[in-house]
Amino acid sequence: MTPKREESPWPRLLATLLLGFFLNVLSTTLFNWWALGSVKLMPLVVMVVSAGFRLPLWGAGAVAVALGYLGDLVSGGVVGLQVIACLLVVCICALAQRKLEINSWPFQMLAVGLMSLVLHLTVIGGLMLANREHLMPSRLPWVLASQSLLSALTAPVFFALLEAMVRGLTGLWRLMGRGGA
Amino acid sequence: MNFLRRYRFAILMGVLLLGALTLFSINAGRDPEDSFTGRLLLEVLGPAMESVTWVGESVGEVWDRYFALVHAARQNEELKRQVASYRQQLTDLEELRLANQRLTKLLGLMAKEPVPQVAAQVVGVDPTNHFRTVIINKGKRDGVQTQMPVVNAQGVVGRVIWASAHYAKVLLLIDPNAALEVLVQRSRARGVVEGAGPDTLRLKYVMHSDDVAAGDRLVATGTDGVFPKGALVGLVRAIKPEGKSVFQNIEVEPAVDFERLEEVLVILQRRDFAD
Repeated sequence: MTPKREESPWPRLLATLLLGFFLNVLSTTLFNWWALGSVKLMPLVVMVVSAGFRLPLWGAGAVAVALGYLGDLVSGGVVGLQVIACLLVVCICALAQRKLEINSWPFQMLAVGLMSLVLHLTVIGGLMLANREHLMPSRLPWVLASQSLLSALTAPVFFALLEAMVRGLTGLWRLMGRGGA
Repeated sequence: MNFLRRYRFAILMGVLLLGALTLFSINAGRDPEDSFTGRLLLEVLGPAMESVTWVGESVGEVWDRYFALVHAARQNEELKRQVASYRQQLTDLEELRLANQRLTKLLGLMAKEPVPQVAAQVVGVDPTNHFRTVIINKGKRDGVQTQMPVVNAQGVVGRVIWASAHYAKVLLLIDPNAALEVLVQRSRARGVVEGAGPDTLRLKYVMHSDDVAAGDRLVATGTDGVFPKGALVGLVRAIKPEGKSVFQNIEVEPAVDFERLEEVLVILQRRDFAD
C-alpha cells in the first residue's frame, strides 16, 4: 500500500510536474491526432487529482498553478481560467484526502471521472461569466460525459506511470543523500 | 498563533483560490504578451511540441509514401494531363496580368505592393474542447506580432493572439470568440462571421432584405485592419428560418479545413487592407 505521505514531498512534486509537462505536450499533439471527434485523452487531470491526494496542500497548489498555467498557455485566450479549475480540483481532493485514499483502481477512476467533470464545468462556467454570448456545443452533456468516462478509464495507466516516476526520483533523491530517513 | 495553526489548511486553501481568481481577473483585461513567464514557458513547450509533431509527421509520411508508390503510375499520368492544362491557364493568366498592368498604368492607379508573409507550421493544437487555438513555430524573431492575420491556400485561418520569440498562438476563426466582417461576394451584402463549433461559422447581422443564398462565397471586407480584403472565409451552407428576428440565421462552412491544418501563412502587416 502506498503511504499517505512520503518522507519528502519533493520527488513526488518534481515527478508530477515533469510528467504533467510531458503530458501537456502530448495533449497538444499525439492525443489530438487520436481524438474520437470531440473526445480526446486529457490525462492532465490525473496529475492534478494525484497531487491533491498525495502532496501537502502547498505542493499540490504549486502543481495546480503550474499545470493550469501550462494549460492556459496552449489553450484559449485568457490566462487564469484553467489555473482556477485545477486549484478547485486540488482543494476538493485535499479535503477528500482527509477521509479517503486513492490506492485502488476503482477509486482512482471514480475520482478522476468526477474531477474531470468539475474541471470542465469550472472552465465552462468561467467562459460564460467572461463572455455571456459564449456558444456552447449543442451536444455538451454528451461530450462532457464521454470525456470524463475516457479520463476515468485511462486514469490507472497514468497513475501507474506517475508512481513509477516517483519511485525512480525517490531512489535518486536518497542517492543524493537528501532523503529524510 | 493558535488560530493560524488550527485553520492553516482552510487559510491556505482560501489564499490559493483567491490568488487564482486575482490572476484571472488581472489577465482578463490584459495583453497576455506582457507575461514574461508565459513567453518563457512557450519557448520551452514549443520545441517539445515541434519534436513530437516531427516524429508524427515522419511516421505519417512513410505510411503515405508506401501508398503513394502503389498508385504512383496512375497518378503520374493524371498529373501530366493536369500540368498541360495548367500551363495553358498560366499563359492565359500571364496575358491577363500584363494587360492589367498596362491598363493600371493607363488609369494612373498605384499597383499594390505584395504583402510580406512568413510560412509557419502548426506544432500544437488546443487540447480542450472549449477553445480553438493552435501553436505555430514562428514568433517575434520572424516578425510575427499579435493581431496579425493568418491564412492558408484555402482562405482565412485566424489571427495571432500571443507571440513569444519563436512561437505564436493563433485564435482560429471557428473559436466562439473570433469574429470577422465579411461580404457576400455575389450580392455585396455585409455581415459578421463568428465561430460556432468545430467546422461551422455563423453569419450574423444580415437583414432579411439582403440577398444571400446557399453556396454563396463570403470574403473578408478588409475594414477591420486585420484580414486582407477579398480573402475567402467560407461558403453559405444553410439559411435557417428565424422566428421574428430582424436578421437572418445563416450557417457557414469554413473555407479552411481546420481538422487538417498543417501549414499556414502569417501576413506580416497590420494595416487597413481596404485602402
